[in-house]
Amino acid sequence: MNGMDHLDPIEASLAELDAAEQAGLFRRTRVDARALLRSASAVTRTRSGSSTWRRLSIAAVLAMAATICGWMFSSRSGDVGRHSLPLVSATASATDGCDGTFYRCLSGPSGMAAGGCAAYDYNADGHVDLVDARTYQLTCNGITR
Amino acid sequence: MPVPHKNGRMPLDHPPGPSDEFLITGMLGGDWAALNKLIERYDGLVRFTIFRMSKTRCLKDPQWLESIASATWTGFVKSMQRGSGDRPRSLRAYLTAVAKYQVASALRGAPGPDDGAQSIDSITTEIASPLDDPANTLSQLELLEALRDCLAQLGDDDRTLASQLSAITERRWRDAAAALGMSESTLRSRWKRTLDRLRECVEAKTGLTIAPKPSDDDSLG
Repeated sequence: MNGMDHLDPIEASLAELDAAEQAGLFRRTRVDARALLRSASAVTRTRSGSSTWRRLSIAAVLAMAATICGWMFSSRSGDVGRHSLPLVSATASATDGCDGTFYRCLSGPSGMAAGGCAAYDYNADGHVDLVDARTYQLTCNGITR
Repeated sequence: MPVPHKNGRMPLDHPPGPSDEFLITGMLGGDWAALNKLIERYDGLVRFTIFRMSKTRCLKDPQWLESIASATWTGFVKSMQRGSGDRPRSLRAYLTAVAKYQVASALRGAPGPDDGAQSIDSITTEIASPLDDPANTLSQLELLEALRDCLAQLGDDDRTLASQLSAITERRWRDAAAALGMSESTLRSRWKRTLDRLRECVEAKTGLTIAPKPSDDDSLG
């Protein structure tokens, strides 16, 4: 005989109950609620942090590529010393300026850090360049954020 | 159609105590006691959903049900934490859907996207089926729980009969009677009385009416 169609409803339920007991249906799931809440919020934070990191990394690569192209173009034309990207008047500090403004301040090794962009000249060599970009990334993604 | 309990409460009424919404808010604020309360409230539903969806697997692997239920609660917490204020309209429907999703993922042998932390809308529409709604699942779970209680209240004689359940439900009356040391006709008539007692007990506990199956040649006494 196939299935449980031939059974009285109570018999069918008894058969179901028997299987349920074997499967451990009536036990309670062991969940460490405290640990679960802690680990789940940590995962959420890590995910949010890594997506921010990814976004900033993409922006950094694009900005650096644009800067390098700009420098090459300037060198070819013999116009050394001019800023390849327009300088912006930005108010930034080493810890608060993690909003992407940095990339508009990149002046290259031959440019001069000016105005609000001087805050990004972390090594105080007068330029906002790739050395500062590395520090910027460490500051904004690895340390303070 | 759900039937009112003897105490007047409908099977799907919210249980007494803090609302689900209140408990979820507490849980998201880091209150693990609120999460424990939700587990206490809905773990039976979660486990029964998993059991019904993968009975064969549950019987084959004693750890299956436990591990999927645990993954369901983890997925639920992650989804709520990622939901940015987005709350399911019905927590029991949502948990049922998460449990089904976890079973489906485990049966496919691959983890789901983000370890099961899908968006509330996508998971509910993807898996929840109107033919198998949580109300129905809860009623059936309630029936099983009532039957379990009733079985525990049976006398020794009736419980001895129940030890031959497999043979009886497969209608191997002769085998069951031989194992119990009685005649086939005695077994049939005693079994019928046992079922009647259980039916009466379950009906009293749940408020449901469970009509006996009309007897045929191969059926009861």
